Parts: sequence; C-alpha cells; structure tokens
Amino acid sequence: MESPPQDGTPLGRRAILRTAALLPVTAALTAGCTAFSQPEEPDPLEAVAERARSDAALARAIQQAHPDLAEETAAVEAVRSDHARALRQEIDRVNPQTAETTTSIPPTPAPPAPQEADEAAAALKQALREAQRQAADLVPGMPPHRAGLTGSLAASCASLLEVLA
Amino acid sequence: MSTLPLSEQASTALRRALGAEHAAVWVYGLAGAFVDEAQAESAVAEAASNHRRFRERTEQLLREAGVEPPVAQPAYSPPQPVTDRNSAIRLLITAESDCATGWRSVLETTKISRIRQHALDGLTTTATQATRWRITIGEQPAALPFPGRP
Repeated sequence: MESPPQDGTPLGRRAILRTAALLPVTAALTAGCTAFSQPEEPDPLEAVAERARSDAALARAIQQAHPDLAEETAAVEAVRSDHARALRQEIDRVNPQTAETTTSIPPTPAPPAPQEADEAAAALKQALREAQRQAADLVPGMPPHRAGLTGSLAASCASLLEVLA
Repeated sequence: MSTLPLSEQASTALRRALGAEHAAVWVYGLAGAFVDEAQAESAVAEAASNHRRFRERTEQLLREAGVEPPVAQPAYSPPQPVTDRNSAIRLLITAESDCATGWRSVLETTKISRIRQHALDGLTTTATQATRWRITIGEQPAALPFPGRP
C-alpha cells in the first residue's frame, strides 16, 4: 500500500494514479472477508460459460456410458470446452479482478448420463438447444465484440446439433 | 430515403456480407452440376434458396439505409479447381465460411437490433450448412467452436 508522503507535500497526481492502480488488488484481497461489500453485477457471460462447462461435462459422461455415441459426444465436449475457455478469457479481460477468484472454481461435476443411448443423445441435444437460445438472446444487448462472440457461439451450438442429428 | 442510421463501418460490413452471399449463390450454381445424388441435390437446392433469401434481405436493408447494394460479379474464381463431387462440396464449405466471416463482422459493427438479428440468422444458417457439408464429405471437425472468427 502507498503510505502518505512523509515530507508534508500534498498528494501529487502520480501518487493518486498509483493509488487508483492498486485498488483492484485491494478489492480482490478484501472481497472474501468483507461482509458488507456490495457484490458487483455478475458478468452475463458467466452463465453462458457455466452452461458450456456443464454441457462439456454431460458430453463426457455420455461418452463414457455410451461408446456408440463416442464420436459425436467427443465433438460436443471439445467445442463446448473451447467455448468455456474463450468465455472465461473474455470475462477476465473485461474484469481482471475476478480472474484470481474464478480460477479456483472446481470443475463442474459430471451430471449423470441417461441410461438409454437415445435418451442421452436427446438430453445433450436439449442442452445444446438451450445453449443456443441463451447465447442468441444475449446478442442484441451486447457490446460489438461480444455480439460477435455470443452470436458465433450460438451458431456453433446450432452446428453441434447437426453433428448429433 | 434513409431510415436506417447505418455507420460507415456497418455499411462496409453489410456490403461485404452481401458480396459473400452473391458469391455463395454463384458457387451453388456451379456445385449443383457436380452433385447428383438426390439427397445432396435437394440439400444444394435448399441451401441455395437460403442464400438467395439472405441476399435479398440484405439488399433491402442496405437500400433502407440509403446505400446502393453492390451487384454480383459475373463469375467467381474458385481457389481450388472443381473436378468432382467432393471438390465441389469443399468449395461450398469455403463459400459458407466466407458468409460466416461476413455475418460475424456485421454483428461486431452495428447495434441496430434488426440488423444484428439478420446477421445472427445469417451466421447460424451458414455455419449449420457448412457443418452439414463437412459431415457429407467426412471432414473433421464438422462443427467449429467459433464460426466466422477471422
């Protein structure tokens, strides 16, 4: 932390800038122990990223339970993992102070794969349809760069549905 | 008369997307000659009709913005020679990818919701179609994580 100038001079412009630059770190350090800190509005991409992780986990679980679906589910797992990574990168880019706390999120536990292969495929398709809708619904209100990202992600989920068709 | 306040950047992106749609319509005409199974033939017809629809809607949006839509070239030069069904389908995939790049770029240059919706439809339709063609010729991966990403 910056200590106040000892020589009695008022805080100069440089000192103020340095203090401001230190703020995010301080906020990150105190976030865990301040009961009264106002939680920030969560990044709307958090929910999209969470869904991507959970779809990847579901695809992995189905892959293990139903070898007949291995090829298609591997494709879904790979693409949805790419989505999760890219979203995390974008969330952290916009708000670097959450980066430290969010990297410690444990991997999404694998949801149970339905016992019948066709039920499993149907569950994954349903998840992808919801993911497509979730991303598409965000497109109109997003800043330009994110409109491209979420629009592309929605199109990708639609494409994955073709792989499972 | 202009009713759509289109920025210079958005207008350029929309004109480029239209250019990609023009090329796609042309390429579908060429590829149709090399695809003779009934199933692929009807897929070609359906996709070509989608591209014509996007082309017309894009022209309409540009006119609403007071921009004269660019016309199609008389012919396009395929990057690889088209000699058979698979090379024809690979050319279709290239054309679809160019459309995807065009539509994603429109999404990133305008906030006008009507145009964003149109671009999202274009991007989703073209990415889905490219995936179908990749499946048809066994190209992996068939679905990309971020269609239209430059």
